Parts: sequence; structure tokens; C-alpha cells
Amino acid sequence: MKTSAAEAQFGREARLQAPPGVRVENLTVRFGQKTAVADADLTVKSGQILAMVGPSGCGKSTLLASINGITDLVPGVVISGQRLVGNRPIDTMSSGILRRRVGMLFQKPNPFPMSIIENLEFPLREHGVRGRGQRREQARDALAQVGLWGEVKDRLKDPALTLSGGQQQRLCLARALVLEPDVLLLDEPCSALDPIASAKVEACIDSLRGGYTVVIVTHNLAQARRIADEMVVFWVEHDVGRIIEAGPTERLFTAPVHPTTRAYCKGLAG
Amino acid sequence: MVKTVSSNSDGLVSLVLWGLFSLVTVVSLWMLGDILLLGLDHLSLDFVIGEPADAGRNGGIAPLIVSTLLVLAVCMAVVIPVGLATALAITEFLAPEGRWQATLLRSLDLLSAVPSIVFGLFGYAFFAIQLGLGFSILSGGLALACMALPLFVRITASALAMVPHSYRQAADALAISRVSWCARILLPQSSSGIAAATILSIGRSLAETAVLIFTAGYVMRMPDSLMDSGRTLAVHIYDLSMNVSGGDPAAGATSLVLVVILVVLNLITRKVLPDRTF
Amino acid sequence: MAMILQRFRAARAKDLFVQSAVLLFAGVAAIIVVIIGVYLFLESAPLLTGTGIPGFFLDRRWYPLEGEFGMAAMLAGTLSVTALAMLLAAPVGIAAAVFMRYYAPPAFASFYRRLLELLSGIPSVVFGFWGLIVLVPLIAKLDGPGASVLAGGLVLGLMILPLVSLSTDSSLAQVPRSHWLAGTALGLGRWAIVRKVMIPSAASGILAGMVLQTGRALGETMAVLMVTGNVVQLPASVFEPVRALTSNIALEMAYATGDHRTALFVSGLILLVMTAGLVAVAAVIQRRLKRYG
Repeated sequence: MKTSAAEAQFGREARLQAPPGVRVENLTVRFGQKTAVADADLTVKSGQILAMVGPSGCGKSTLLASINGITDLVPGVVISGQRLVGNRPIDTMSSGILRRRVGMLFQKPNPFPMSIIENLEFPLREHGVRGRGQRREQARDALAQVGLWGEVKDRLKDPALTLSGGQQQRLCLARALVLEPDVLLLDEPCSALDPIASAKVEACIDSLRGGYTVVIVTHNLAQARRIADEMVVFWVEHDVGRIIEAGPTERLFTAPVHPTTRAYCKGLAG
Repeated sequence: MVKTVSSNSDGLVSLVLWGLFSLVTVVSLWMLGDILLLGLDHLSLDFVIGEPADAGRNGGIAPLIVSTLLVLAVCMAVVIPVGLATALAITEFLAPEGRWQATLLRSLDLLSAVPSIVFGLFGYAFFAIQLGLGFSILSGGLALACMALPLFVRITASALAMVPHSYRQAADALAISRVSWCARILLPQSSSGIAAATILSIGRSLAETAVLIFTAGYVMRMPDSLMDSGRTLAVHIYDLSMNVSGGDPAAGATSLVLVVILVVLNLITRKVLPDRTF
Repeated sequence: MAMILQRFRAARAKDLFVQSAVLLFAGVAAIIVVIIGVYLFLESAPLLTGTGIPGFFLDRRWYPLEGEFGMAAMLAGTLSVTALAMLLAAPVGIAAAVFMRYYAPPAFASFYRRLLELLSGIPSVVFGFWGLIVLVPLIAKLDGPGASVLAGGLVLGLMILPLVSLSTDSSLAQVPRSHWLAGTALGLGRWAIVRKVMIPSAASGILAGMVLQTGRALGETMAVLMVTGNVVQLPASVFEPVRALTSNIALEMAYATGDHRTALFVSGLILLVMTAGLVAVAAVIQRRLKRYG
């Protein structure tokens, strides 16, 4: 397994360009009367892992899903502000290109009701990768990248839903990686998994540093401390989600500025 | 059943409810039993595969079975594509809670309330006369399609809506095209619901008479084409019991055949969708 | 366009084509009911003069071959049979639903539900046939010719019963279980909870369902035709025969010409308007009463 992961690593490190950074400027998202997120500013540097932490309902997932335009699909949503991937506003990109460059992983593993290999080849076909051989190869690489190749190579045609929860989530990560995105959005990817599966997924995420720009929403402060380079803390103020502090992870845990951050990170609140 | 504190009125109410249950059950079984007995008397293999004789008093119902199947075929050939498209429009292509979706839903609600004889009148005026199809299986099938459509759409739309949201999220995040989403995931996942919708619509159509007497007509012969007039099983029961003296035994046997077919369809639906009631 | 359609996931030609086809078909489905209304109206038009219309409702004299098209007797026939049917079906139907949901042991409940589902699928001609050979002679022993308002009401009631009970059952199913638990916590007996908590909560659905089933009953043709005797008269008692509006169309359409035929279309239009009105009432009930439960 280690060999295949290394091979996949090598493939990616051979990419000449560094992945783009992500910037969110002054974002406000409203659903009808309710404001989910207000005046959010966020910067993720190229190749970094940024964690968004905070209690439930602060708008973290809403903001995350607005980076690849998923939030825009909700009927009746009003979004103001700018979202930029590598200095290009996402409104100027077609949804096909945007979601090829920005991949997403959800909280509850959601592989398609198809075979394991189809889960990966289907999106490739959708995005115009002709040639079955080419698709098979890219799928193989993606599975190797998440450490699944060894586990599933003898049963690629089995339904994806026969995999365990942790395997399904790694499959979903592979599915996001198979399109060779530059940015990855992870919405609490480990919260529905048992500790062992969670650790495996976390290891995959950790290996993404440098080759991808990663934004991860997590409830697990210990996890954020382990894998995130930078951190952003959300909180609800007057029924609206806001960012109260941002900065390097270690600083937020050892010398937080905002009193709520101090209480939250010391586990006294949230 | 959660246990609750009992009281005096509870006992009385319970008695009344059990009494009504017994009454309804007895009357229903009485009716079904009568049909069974009367029908069995007259039923035979010849009945099912033979041609009618003596205005239907004797002989069999083979041409009627064929006519019935043809009318159903025409009906479903229209209902399934139009109904699928309409259900897809409701769940996938029209803005939810929007004006157009509401209009479509309201229109279907109205359509489902139209009395069957009015469908018969309309079918006569529009399909038979205006479109020149005359008394034919085609007219009958098309008129029946108008009647069966709302039921099919309702069940299909609810089956489509039950596909887990998580699949949709994943498809959105991967920018899967709408067509691929429908063809590769949405429709396959709802296939059992769509099958149930089909079977229930067939069942409803089988039970129809008023729609067909002015569109498909009364002719008892074996139909040669869709433009021929044809009599369905339900219409045959009506004719035998109302217009043909001594036609009761044959009507009973035909009723039995029809009820058996419907029971079988009911059982199939239960197999296909075990935990849904409509 | 952006207002009526969900945002595109990927605006490809394939998507555009399929979308247009789907919306076209859906459009066809949407206008069917409009076309029906228009057709009925056009066919009825010759007799829909200002002076003629009240006559349909007030005049009892239906002598179509002599140009008299009074439908009052037939309206009375339709309404009396329907009212009797609902009088029977509504309480028994609601009782059946309450029984299935809160009183019956699981085996009985499941049996009952299956039986009602089976009944709801039985063709109206079969109901009518049984009514004709069993009920009508029985009623004749009591009074009158047998074919009567009573026969129609009983048969129609039996037909509508499963629909009312299944509709009520599904309305009751939607009441949150917590309501029952709240009632138990207050120490209420089973009937008290049903009567004061569950039924009121489901009231809008139950009522709307009954309104719709009334519409079904109004529009029913075959069963009523077969057992009511089809004599055009105002019934003096439930044992007298009547002719319903629906039966009239079924009986006379085959040989009606000219104004007679137009009059039949007028009666069809009246039926359409009545059932459409009931659908509207049901919708209003759903919307208004939803606030209270």
C-alpha cells in the first residue's frame, strides 16, 4: 500500500504549478429572513490546509459550500461578496470547470449507487475524459492516492455501498481527487466514522498538503490542531454566523486574542 | 400500541369500533363471496378463451380480453412517457414552490377530480369526433390516458422525491449533467416506485367503464386493429347486467375474472413496493 | 427563464434538449384539463343563453325530445344519493381509520387495511352488479321497486367507504407521535386522546379528503346507474327511484342529437364545475385549517 501511495505522490509532485489559493471577501449568505453568514473574510494560501471550527449552526458549512457554488443552488438564497479561486471570481467560471477545479467531500459518505470503479469513471466520463483505458488509469491512481487500491482491486465491480463506512468515505475522496482538482473542500469528513476509519481518512487528508489547497470544516479541535496550518473560528452573534478570529493554528491554541476563542479552544464553551 | 389509562367511554367506543369493523368486513366479504360463487358457476376454461355467443350469455370473453389489453396498451403508451416527463418536471426542472410548478400541480389536481363520464363526453367530442378516430380502441385508450395520468404522476413524483439528497449533493459537487443525473441515478433509484405507479394506473384503468362506452364502443368482436371498436371487460359486465336479460351469470363470471386480475395486480404492487400505501 | 428553472449544473446541448422535451410534455399534461373545460363549454354553448341557464337548475321537466331540459330532478337525484352515501361512508370510514390506527391489534389492522385497499380497487360496475342482483331485491321486500335512492346510497357508500378511511388513515399517520405521548403524559384515556388530540390535529387533512371523496361520489356513474332505477323525478322517499345527472348522460348520449345532445353537454359542464369547486374547497381547507393542525 505504501508503494502505491508513493507512486501517486510522485505523480502529483511532478505537477509544475503550485495549486491556487482561495479567497473569500466580505461574504454574506441569506436564506429568506435568516442570515447564515455575515461579512466573512477568509484567505487560504496555496497548498495549505485551513480548518474552520466553531459550534453547530454558525454557517461554516454554508461558507464552505459557497466556494464551489453549491450554496448558490439553494432556491431563494441571496449571496453577496466575492469568492476567488486563484484570483479568479468563481462567477466567471462555468460550473463544470469550477467543480472540476474545486472538489468536495461531505460529512456522510455518499458514493453513487454504482460499482466502486463506476463511481470514479462516471465523473471522468461526464467531464469529457474519453478512452476507457485512460479513465481506468486515472481511477486507479485516485484509489491509490487514498490507500484503497490494495483493498478493492479484486472487487472493482462490486457495489460501492458494500464497502465499510470508512472505505466509502475514502472512495468519495478518491472520487473528488479523480478529476484532479486544485482545491478540496471537506465538510466534517470524519465525523460520521469510527475512530480507526477516521484516522485513516485523516492520514489521507494530511498527505494532501502541498499538492492541494484544502479547506476543512471540523468539530474536532484536536484534529484541527493535528492537521491544519491555519485556523478560522466561527461563532454565532445575534443569530448570525461570523468569523471571530483567524490565524496560524498553534497561535490560536496557545495565544488566542478573542475571549470566545480562548474559551472554545480550551474546551470551556461550544 | 402505547398503553393508556382506560375509562368507561373507552369501553363503549371500543365496542362501537369493533362493531363497525365487523359490519364492514361482513358486507365486503358478502359482496366478494357472492361474486365468487356466481362467477365460479359460469366460469370455465372455455369461458376465458372462447368467443362470445348469444349476445354474451354463452361462450367466452377472449375478444374482450384482447380489446382490454389493447386499450390498456394504448393508454400506458401515452401515460408512461408523458407522466414520467411531468413528474420529472415537477421534481427536477421547475423551481420548487414556484409559480409554474404550482400551476402544474393544481392542473393535475383538477384533472384527477374530473368525473369519469365527463372524460367519456370529452373523449367522444374530441378524440372520436374532432380528431376523427371514431369509436375505436385508440379513442378509448387516449381518453383513458387523460384519466390515468394524474395518478401516475403523483406516485412517480413522490418516488422521485424519495431519492436520497446525498446523491444529489455528490452529483452537484461533481458538476454531473442533468441528463446523466436523471438517467444514471435518479430514474434507476426510483424504478420500483415507477413500476408501482404503472401497475396502479393499470389497475385504475381496468376498472373504468364510463370513459369507454362513448370512445371505445361496444363491439364484441375480436379487434383487428387499433381503429376497430372494442369492448373491455368492465363494459361487458355493464352490458350483460343491464341490457341483456339472463346475462347475469356471464356478468358474474366476467366480474370474477376482472376482480382476480385486480387482486393479482394488487399483490404484485405489494411485492414491488412493500412499505408504501397509497 | 432563470425564474422558472433551477440553475443549470452544466449547460450542455444535451441538457437543453432533454429539458425542452420534458417541459413540453409537462405542458401538454397541464393543459389537458383546460382543453376539457373548453370543449365542454363549446359544445354546451348553444344552450347557454342568459335565460336558459337558470332553467336547467330550477325546471323539473326533462323532456328532451320536446325541447324541455330541466335538470332539477336529476340534480336532486345526484345530490340525494351522494348525501346518503356520504352520511354512511363518512362516520364509518373515520371509525375504520381510528380503529386501524389506535384500537385494532396489528393482525386485524393489517387485514382491515388490505381489505379496504382491495375494495378501493374494485370496479364500480362490479359494485353496481352486486347491488343490482342482491341489494335491489332486498330493498324491494321493504318498500318500492327496489331500485331507489336507498340502493344508490348504499352501494355508493360502500364504494366511497374505503377511500374515506384510507385517506383519513393517511392524515392520521402524519400526526407526530409526540402528540400521543403528550396525551398519555396528561393521563388521558385512549378515546380522549384520539378525540381531543389526534383527530383535531389531522382535521384539515381529514376534512379535505372527505370533500374530495364527495366529489368522487358526485361524479360516479356506473354503480349509481345500475341501481337507482333511472326515473326522472323528485324522490318523495328514499325508496323511490331517481336518475342521477351522470346516469342520464350515460343513458341518453348514444342517441341524442341536436339540442338534446347539447343539453347533455351542459349537464357534463355542470358536473365539471361542481367537482372543480369541491377541489377548490378542499385546497382552501388544507390551507386554512393547517394553521390549527
